Amino acid sequence: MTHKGMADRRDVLATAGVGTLMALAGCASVLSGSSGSKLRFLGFGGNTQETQMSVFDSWDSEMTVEGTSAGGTTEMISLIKQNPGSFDVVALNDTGMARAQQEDILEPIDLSQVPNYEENIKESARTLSFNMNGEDTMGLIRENGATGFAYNTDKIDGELTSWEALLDPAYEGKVSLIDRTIDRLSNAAAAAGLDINEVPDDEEKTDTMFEQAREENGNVFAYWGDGATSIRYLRQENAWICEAWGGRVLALQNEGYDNIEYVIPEEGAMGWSDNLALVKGSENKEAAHELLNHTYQRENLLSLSEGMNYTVQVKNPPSSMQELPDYAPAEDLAFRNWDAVLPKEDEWTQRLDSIKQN
Amino acid sequence: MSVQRGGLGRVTHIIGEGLEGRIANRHLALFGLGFVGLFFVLPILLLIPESLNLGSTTPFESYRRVANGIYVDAFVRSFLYGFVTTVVTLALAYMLSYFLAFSTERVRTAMILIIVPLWIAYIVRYFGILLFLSPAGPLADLTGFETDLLFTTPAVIIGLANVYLPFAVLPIYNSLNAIDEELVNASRVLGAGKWRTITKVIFPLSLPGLVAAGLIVFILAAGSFLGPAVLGGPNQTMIANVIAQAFLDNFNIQFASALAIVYTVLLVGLLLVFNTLFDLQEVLGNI
Repeated sequence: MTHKGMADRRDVLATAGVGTLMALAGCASVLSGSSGSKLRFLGFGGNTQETQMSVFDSWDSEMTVEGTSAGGTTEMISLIKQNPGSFDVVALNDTGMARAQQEDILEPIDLSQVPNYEENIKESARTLSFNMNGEDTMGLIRENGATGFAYNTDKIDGELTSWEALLDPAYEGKVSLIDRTIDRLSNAAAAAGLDINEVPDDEEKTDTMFEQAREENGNVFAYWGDGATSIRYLRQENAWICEAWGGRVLALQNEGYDNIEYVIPEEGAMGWSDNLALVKGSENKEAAHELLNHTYQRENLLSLSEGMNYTVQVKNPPSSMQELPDYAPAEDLAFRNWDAVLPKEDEWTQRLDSIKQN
Repeated sequence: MSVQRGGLGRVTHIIGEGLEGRIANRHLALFGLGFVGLFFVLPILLLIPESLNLGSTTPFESYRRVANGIYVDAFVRSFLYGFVTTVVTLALAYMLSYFLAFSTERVRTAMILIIVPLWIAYIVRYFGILLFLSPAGPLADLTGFETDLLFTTPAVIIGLANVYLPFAVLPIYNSLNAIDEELVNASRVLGAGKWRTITKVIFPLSLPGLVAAGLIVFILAAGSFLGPAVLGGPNQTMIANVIAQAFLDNFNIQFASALAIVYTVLLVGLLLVFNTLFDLQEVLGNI
């Protein structure tokens, strides 16, 4: 073997050794777990996370808040389950709240330590079923909205006000709908004049809901799984009509796409909410309660609404919030009862998939 | 000549000196196999108990559900798309590799053009096609013509073939480049025309590269998630999309695990069939 060959081999071995040491060091830092001087927040990422973190940044405390974002509810629940004690506060949507309680990863919130919640949030929004476990409050509603639809006024003449628009043959291959079973079926149920919460135990209503979903599938070119995709379809004119979230559409309009209109159809639309909760096993429960109390100060709630483009159910909402595309007071909104709906998810997914792939 | 080493260079040199003589080739092989075992074989094995409803009277419930029509369709579609993508990609890659091996002096420049796309994330490349073909995209802007390609099977196949083309070009080019030029000249001297030389001399000698490329492209394409997710519609759903939906949207780890196990078994079975037809050890050894 030449000296050069020996040197090469030695360098390769050495580099591998250094790489291994560096990798182990990296793993160690990830696995090191919690620290007493900071709170760990797990959220959705994107604009929502940035807005939430800006409110956390104004918290007057010796502790800091470290934000981590996840791609969705499943990832969040997996992260919490696989890293016990590594998160203190989590933001979950209504589905996530139901699942997280099933997985027993949340801690009841002591409302006496979060007086701003009762002081500033409407009573009708404080006891939503997915945020309660008997008498215990498991989650605090943050922002909420509805999944209506948006349409391109350059392509479509006249005003659309009903889910009936999805069935118009003129829009064949120009419609995109949400790719989440319960969300999609909630709107199909609304279009058929049904309340999704009453469907699970009624075979006739179930058939009616799926028949509606089948008809609405007729013009669909694609289903979208994340809000950014819905907006891309609208922006690129792949979709003339697209099920969408009002805040996302408002952001698109603010970019100059004033040819995109957002509608909550007259038959109604699915309501959703994002919520804040305490993670079971947190070593900083007291500080986490303080952080929640800070978040639910009125000026912070208004900042959240302004930054996220969604309704926050504050008492006496300002006129700017009432002008949001999907603004509605909590008492006018129908939320899902996940105890009734969630057990049906697998069965309904299979049935809806067979419609989508037909 | 003495060489001054920097901080990191000195550290690597010292570690290298320490390891020298203590690590043999079999240790390096064990390191690679250990990595694959730890991060591929073990996770797949762990999926088996996850896929079973242990403690119930119907432990194979998820597997029974996998046999449902729409999931069987997704499996069939995945392997069919994998096969069609492989055929299209190999055809394109062979032409490109032939050009590189026999018809151009600027191999290095051409190779850079082929390899550079590998540095770009798949999702960016799929989005590129999506934006290019969209009604508000540059193709429609320039020509005034809107294609109906998006969200169809051809769009998915085009996307997959585009993304996996470099994986096919490299082994095929390697095979073609290794052909002794004297054999090609001898064929010509003995009276064979260009086409006959290609079919009777060049093509058979390049088969190992073609088989290896086909294997790589088929495995990658059949398990594709992003291609159908970005360029396809509900009728182009492949098995990776179904697994993602079961896990990420429905949080049904048991069913997602069962789908993954069945897919892995089917894929390995197909590879074994492939192996009996082509003797992969010999083929890969000839590259």
